[in-house]
Amino acid sequence: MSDFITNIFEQQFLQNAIIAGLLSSIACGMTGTFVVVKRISYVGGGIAHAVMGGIGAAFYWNINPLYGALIFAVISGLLIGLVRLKLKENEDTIISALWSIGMAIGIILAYLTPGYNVDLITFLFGNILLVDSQSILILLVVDVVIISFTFIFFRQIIYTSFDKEYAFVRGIKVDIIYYLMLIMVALTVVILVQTVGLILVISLLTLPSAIARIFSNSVLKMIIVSVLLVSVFIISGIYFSFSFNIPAGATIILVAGMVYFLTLLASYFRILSK
Amino acid sequence: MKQLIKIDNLSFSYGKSTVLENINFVVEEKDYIGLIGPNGGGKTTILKLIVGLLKPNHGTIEMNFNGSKNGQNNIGYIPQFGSMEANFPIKVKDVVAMGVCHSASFMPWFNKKENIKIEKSMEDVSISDLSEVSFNELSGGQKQRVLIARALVSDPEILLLDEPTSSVDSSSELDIYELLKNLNNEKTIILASHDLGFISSYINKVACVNKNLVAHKIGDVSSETIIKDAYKNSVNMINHKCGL
Ligand SMILES: Nc1ncnc2c1ncn2[C@@H]1O[C@H](COP(=O)(O)OP(=O)(O)OP(=O)(O)O)[C@@H](O)[C@H]1O
Ligand SMILES: [Mg+2]
Repeated sequence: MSDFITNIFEQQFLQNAIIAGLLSSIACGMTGTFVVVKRISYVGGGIAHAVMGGIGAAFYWNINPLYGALIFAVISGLLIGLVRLKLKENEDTIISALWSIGMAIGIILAYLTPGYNVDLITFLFGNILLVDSQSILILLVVDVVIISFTFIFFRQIIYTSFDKEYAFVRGIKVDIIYYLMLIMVALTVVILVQTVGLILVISLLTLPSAIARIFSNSVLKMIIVSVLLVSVFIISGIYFSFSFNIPAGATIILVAGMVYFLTLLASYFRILSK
Repeated sequence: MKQLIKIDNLSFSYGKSTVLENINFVVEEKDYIGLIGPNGGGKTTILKLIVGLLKPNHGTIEMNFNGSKNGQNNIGYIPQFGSMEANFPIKVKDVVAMGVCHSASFMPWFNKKENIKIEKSMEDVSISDLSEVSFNELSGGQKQRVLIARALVSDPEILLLDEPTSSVDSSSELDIYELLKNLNNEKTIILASHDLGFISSYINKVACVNKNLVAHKIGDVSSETIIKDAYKNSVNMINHKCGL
């Protein structure tokens, strides 16, 4: 442990990883809470995999993969919203379509780019230990956007999720709020692709907030608890990953998953003992 | 009397089947209207048309309020089956506060004026002590009161209630009707029910809905006509309801 702490002060990459982890936890805890209460985790899954197309395209045209990911994420989020609100269809089909089409585009474009496979793996499984300072800057900007959205539209988001019909009667623009939530999910997914990789995004987006849900009777409390949990998961994930030399993303998810099941078990026994 | 709502020649259908046909109906200031009719008669549909959740296929609904408030603050609506998400982490106070929220409500906290209104309307329906409780831990009747408080909090000119007492015990039912009677001193009320029972002694008009709408002033007609209009001569119903 003390070894880890000395290393944090000496190693730039560990500092970057921890800063990126803390930045991710803010976005993740906020958006994750909305995703859990509105029950749209599959939207997160769909967008995460669609992002692969953007990453492949970025490799192919040789730009920063984060920009490719951002563009694809936001477009898929808006498409999901359009299908839901304008065509009045369920989202499932469009989500599965985006999920696999995005992957397919990514695989083909990456294949056509020489030397692709190492980088691609990084985005599939994430590697927070490789985050550079330019990516941290992008994380910071995206974080500021998500925090502002959350604060400014807090009540409208909550009320739209809680009772859409009445929110509409109150004059809230429920469709715009829904698009806003989708954009928040898209932005958060892009952040988390860095941290845990696109395959594991859904878990980090939903598990902490699902744990927080058990202890919270308000959305605000859920957000605070989620942000704390995500940062604990990410930092301890980085610690284990560094100490045992195992992949960081997967380690973070395992920590989160273990805590989730322990909490479920604990709350089950609490109900039993009542 | 001033006409608050004027419905002209209104027809509505969900897809193919016509639910409301050629409705003409005027709501005057301080009316207390009992909207009665059988299950599926179209009561809920009319209320949803008035609040704007549904749009008429033909005809018009004209609104004509006194105050200078935003449109949505003039109408308090209590839906029959709430469209609330089950098991949502929200406190009673925050549900009531939804009644003052609008498209320009920014930031998580409410201002002082909103806070006073929220406290007041929780007091009015005696749920102040539940303020910090989770909404999903309440009984059906308690939830109903919360929804009434949510509708009252913007101090609307007109209240639309869709079977507001379907899940409350009979003493709470009386409480609610007493409350509505007092509110009726300044507010216009439309209350949908398939049962004239309790409300017959409070209302001043009955509107019977069963695809068509026929309105009567209380006292103008015998109970039998009213029930017949609503239930299309169903003998069963005539015998069953003789509240007036
Ligand atoms: N969302 C919907 N889609 C299709 N048809 C609907 C819908 N809602 C209601 N209907 C139909 O419209 C008719 C009127 O329904 P409405 O809910 O207005 O009746 P109601 O008078 O409120 O009945 P109740 O006493 O059961 O509440 C019914 O025949 C119903 O089947
Ligand atoms: Mg109804």
